[in-house]
Amino acid sequence: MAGADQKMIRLTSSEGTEFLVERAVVEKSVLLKNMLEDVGESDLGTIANLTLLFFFIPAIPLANVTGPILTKVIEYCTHHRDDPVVTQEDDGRKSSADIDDWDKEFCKVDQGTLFELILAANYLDIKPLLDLTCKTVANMIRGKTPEEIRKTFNIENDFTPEEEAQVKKENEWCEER
Amino acid sequence: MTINNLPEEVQVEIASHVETPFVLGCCSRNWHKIVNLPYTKYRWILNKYGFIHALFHAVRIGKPLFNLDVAELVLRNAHNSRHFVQRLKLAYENYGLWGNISDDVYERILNYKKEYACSNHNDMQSIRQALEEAKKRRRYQNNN
Repeated sequence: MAGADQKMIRLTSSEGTEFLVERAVVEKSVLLKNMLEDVGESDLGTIANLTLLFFFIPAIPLANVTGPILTKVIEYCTHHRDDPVVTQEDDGRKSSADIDDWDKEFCKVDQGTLFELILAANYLDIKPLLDLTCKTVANMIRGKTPEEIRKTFNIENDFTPEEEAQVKKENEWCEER
Repeated sequence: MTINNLPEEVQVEIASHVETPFVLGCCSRNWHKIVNLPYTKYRWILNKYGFIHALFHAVRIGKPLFNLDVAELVLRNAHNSRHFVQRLKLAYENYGLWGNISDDVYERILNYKKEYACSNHNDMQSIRQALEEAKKRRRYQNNN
């Protein structure tokens, strides 16, 4: 039973699976937060009885997110529900190695799931999750040679040998000095 | 789903978190294009050095990272120390120490400075104006 101060929101994944999530958790997504604000408080209602809620409150369809990925996204948002909102003006110095233990464990998934999570974070506009997942991919690249990166991510080398030599020569702009 | 199917803006986001993007840029034509986008370079500087020190490190690393487009993004969006910009201008004018910055940025700022004699009290504004003027000129040159 949800309290009046804990409004619940229904989300539907691409296959039609329904999720009942607290509004505070849903609002970690900027897309959903704006959507809920646009809909307005009165349309959402304050129904505390879950059975009534299922009958009367329409679900928000998320056609681009599958059930398993939405489960992971909700898990992330629930864990980080009380985190302060980080603005761009906060000193943005973020090392890709700077990931806490829970987040590291959360990102221990196969590559396909990780990229689906990145897409979901991008679509739902959850910046901290997008940062986390992109950092995880960046960490998978760290210390690897181009050949190893190609192998890890199945990237096809479409350079001619001349182009490759040229690119190696010109493209060293971010080597630490 | 693979890294190759991700939308370009997401690939930019990944590249901006990579420690050495040039290695990623050596993987394929697509990744070469992604890591060399001005926005990727700008985001990379911000992620690595933060808003406060972005301009300082962009200048320190110099070319080919710090070109006109990246300079514009950093000056427009990052936190820029007015004092640092003033010191840069002094070094540029008196000692020719801006060799680290791409010639494109260097020449246009210098030419603009000669023509319009920027006020010492509004250096940030003058640098911005110089960059805008440089961009206009480059467009003009490209069109002709």
